[in-house]
Amino acid sequence: MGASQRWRVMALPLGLLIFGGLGTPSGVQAQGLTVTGYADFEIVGEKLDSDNKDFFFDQHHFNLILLGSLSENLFMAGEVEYEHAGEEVGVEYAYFGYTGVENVRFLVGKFIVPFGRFNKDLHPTTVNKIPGRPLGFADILPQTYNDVGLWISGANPVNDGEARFVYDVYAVNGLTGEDGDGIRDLRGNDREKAAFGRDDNKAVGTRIGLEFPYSGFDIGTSLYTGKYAKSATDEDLRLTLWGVDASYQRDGFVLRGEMVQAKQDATGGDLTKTGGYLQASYMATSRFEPVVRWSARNMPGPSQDQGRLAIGASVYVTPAAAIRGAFILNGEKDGFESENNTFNIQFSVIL
Amino acid sequence: MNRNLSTSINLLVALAITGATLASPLEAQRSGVEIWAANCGRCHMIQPADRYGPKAWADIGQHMSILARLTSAESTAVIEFLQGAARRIAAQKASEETAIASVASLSVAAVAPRIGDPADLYAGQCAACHGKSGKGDGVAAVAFNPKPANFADPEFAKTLTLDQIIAGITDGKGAMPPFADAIPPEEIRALAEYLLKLSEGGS
Repeated sequence: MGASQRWRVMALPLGLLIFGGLGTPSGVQAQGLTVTGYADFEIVGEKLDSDNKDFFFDQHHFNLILLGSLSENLFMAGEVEYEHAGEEVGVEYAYFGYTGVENVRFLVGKFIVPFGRFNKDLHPTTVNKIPGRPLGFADILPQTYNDVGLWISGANPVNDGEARFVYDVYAVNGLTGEDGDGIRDLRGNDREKAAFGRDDNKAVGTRIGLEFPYSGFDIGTSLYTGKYAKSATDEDLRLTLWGVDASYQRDGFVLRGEMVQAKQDATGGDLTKTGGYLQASYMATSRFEPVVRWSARNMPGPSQDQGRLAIGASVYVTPAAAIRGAFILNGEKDGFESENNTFNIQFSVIL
Repeated sequence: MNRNLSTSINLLVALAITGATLASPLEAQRSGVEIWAANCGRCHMIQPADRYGPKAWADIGQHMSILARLTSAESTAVIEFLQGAARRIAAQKASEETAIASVASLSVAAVAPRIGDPADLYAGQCAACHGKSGKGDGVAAVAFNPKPANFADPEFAKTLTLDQIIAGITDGKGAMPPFADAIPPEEIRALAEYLLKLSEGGS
């Protein structure tokens, strides 16, 4: 894309930011940052059925969320993550948001890509009721997938505000890598891999949904598409992801499901990968919530197909602190170790 | 990125702005407490309003409204509700401290608390879960088990005493948090009397 085209793409949101009126600084809201976040500690046992059991402690997350209103209509949000006791440090997201247009937020920067629900909304340990990720939401939709670009997020009332039509549209630097790479390995646009996005692999995506918050129901569908590599003969190779998600909540019972499918061009033959999960939880008392989650994935090679049953429960010590325990049974096919069942006891807090 | 992608982005932006133009009026149809209870509790445990101060709620509200996909009016209503509740609780604590100091200086009359209308108190603090008529059918009831108490049920009402209701509001019961820090004792008593009237079919 030439420079003039780039400016054309950028012109509208930038124009809104500059000329749409940032609003005047709003007193106390313009001063300082609000610091929140979440943290957790885990006791983990892995490969429980093998002779090579792993047992370890993990300070999995200590993530600080920084929030600030810069003016009436302009705000910023960022999350700095210190994972595995600080062995992994990164920026989960850091974006500016403009709210001067009714029911639309214009966002620029690094953000968690709004594909489905688990990636953007449900992965933090203060929300995720089973420690770990469901199958398909680590290696098909690469988790946590964050990227740099432009994002428009909207919500319009329907039926006198009893429901909402919601949508997200975004353009990002995109997943990038080599011909046929695993999708999880396509994340990141660092200097060595993609010169901070200076490649031809930009991607676009969207999620649209309907929500009925007072009936406890929501449903959505997501799409992501972009080039991710060149073949040996210099042909463009695309990666397209689509997914659906839905949840229903009633009287403490929550049923949630999500699936994702990837179509990945590759020289050795196009690859189709599908994954999904179904999760049910129930607030048996005001503090105790058992949960069960089934997830599965179908990969190009049958040896990588997998099913996973996770059974667990949460005890809410306070509204901001939970002790969760889960036993995770992995059902695997030929070619995989069959001895990697795990347990995880986790203490998580909202900071 | 090719020309098609560029055109697509411009179209999407235009669609978004068109959607905004066609959106419903600025006013949210539901109250802030209803929107808060029905939306925030869908993903995580609802945090008490005095967990953060008014400025923090403004910052958190901007960010969380994106995650919860609230409309602008819903976002504003929730933030204003949480800011108001946080201010009210802070003011109440300050008032109690002032009262203690005033008692010490024998000027009780100067700080005697004003008892608010229990119907207003019920609408602001209780109706989101217990419903406008006390039937336990507020918009937040979908998130709770056991369901919020049904004060309109005559059989249930027979089991209640004024002291039990006061204790329940003060100390919390089941999923209901304690309101001792949020509502002064005189208003808790007035509210409990109001709830007894509800259970007897009056208001």
